[in-house]
Amino acid sequence: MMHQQKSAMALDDVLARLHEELEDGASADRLRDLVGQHPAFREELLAFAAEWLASEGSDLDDGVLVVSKTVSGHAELLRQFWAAASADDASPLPSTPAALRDVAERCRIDTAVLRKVVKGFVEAMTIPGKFVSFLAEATAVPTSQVWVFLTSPAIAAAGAADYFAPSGRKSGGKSSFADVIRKSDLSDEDKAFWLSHLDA
Amino acid sequence: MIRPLVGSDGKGVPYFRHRNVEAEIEAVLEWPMFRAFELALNGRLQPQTLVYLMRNFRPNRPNPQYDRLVLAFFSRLQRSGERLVGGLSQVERERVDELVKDKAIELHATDKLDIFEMSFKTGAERLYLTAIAKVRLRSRTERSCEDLVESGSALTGEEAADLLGRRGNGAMPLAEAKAMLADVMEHLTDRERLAVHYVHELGLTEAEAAGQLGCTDRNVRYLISSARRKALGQGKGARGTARVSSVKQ
Repeated sequence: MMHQQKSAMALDDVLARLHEELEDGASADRLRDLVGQHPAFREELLAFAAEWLASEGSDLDDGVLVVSKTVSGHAELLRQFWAAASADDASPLPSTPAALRDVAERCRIDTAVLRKVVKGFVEAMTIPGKFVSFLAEATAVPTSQVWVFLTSPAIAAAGAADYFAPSGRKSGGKSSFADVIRKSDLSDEDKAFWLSHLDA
Repeated sequence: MIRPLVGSDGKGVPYFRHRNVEAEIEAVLEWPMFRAFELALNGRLQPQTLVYLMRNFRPNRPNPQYDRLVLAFFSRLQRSGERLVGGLSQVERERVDELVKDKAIELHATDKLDIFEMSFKTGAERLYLTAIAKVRLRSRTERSCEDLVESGSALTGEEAADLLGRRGNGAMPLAEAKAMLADVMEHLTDRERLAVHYVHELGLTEAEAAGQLGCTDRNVRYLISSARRKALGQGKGARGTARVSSVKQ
């Protein structure tokens, strides 16, 4: 099974290379060379080349933005998509206060704002992608991992309720990123940096 | 601020985003994420930007807005392949669509969608051509011996490429040969194209093709020989000649 998967991946890589070379003007000699280099994939390479030759290509250019038809089998497609997706929701943030301060500075915010974000007091979908990218750079993890962390169930639930309030459990409220910035102690310049688009 | 592409082509040249795509992504990242998703879902962003959002902003668990983004990606992918699967039977189309979906899901899960951020069209064409080639190979092996005898004159992928190799003197870029073939096909009438398609691509007998076209098998033979005459007049290069010689068989 493992071998089959590896072989399928290798085949796809070789076909990708053939595709690039065909688009770049490869000759029949070059096709033969490639077939000679990968005799195990002879049939597949020749079949791909034949399909490419006979095909006029897609009629949907990247400049066309709207696609009216919707893909079929939504539920099954999404089930498969999420089954294949892995999620590492470990916090990318350092634990020491000094390191946190450094991350905050590199993200052009202060530690108070950073704490609100990572403790779940900010509605994730109101955060601008720019901030997620800054946080990824500052913590040296991929943007996708930062986003997985910020949308993790623990973070989502954290700001939603205060189970230990003196007067008993209280429903919490999440703020928007713009509100948190507006009410922060950031300089006017830094506030403007974040709010120029968020307020528009 | 924008994550660079890490994949590269067969020669090791890194994939790159076009400048206008980079500029659009930078602009979109200024907005809150819900707004960025809305723009993508409303068809206001280029497909490469949609892929960027899908790759970098997948939430921890399913969420309706993100799921709509995923469906937008797959809708575009399927639409991109429509013309490419045009000559396949319904069953083959379904197989191709399934293979393409599975591969796209795998590419997303393994973070290998770089080609789609460079050119969605190229990425889609690659997935579809790969899947079509695989399905055609599988269909061939699934045919009964009787079918193979009847469709002995059909142009298979392997034969086409072999003929190309023999007849193209090796030096002609295949892209040029491809253009010549398109030129030849343009000069055929719709019925000639259909006759060639039924007999030489789908492997139907002349009688079966006649049934599809609503004419006699003699008429099918006439359409194919007419196509051959036109092809001989048009195609002077590898692809055209290869196609013609297969028609002759």
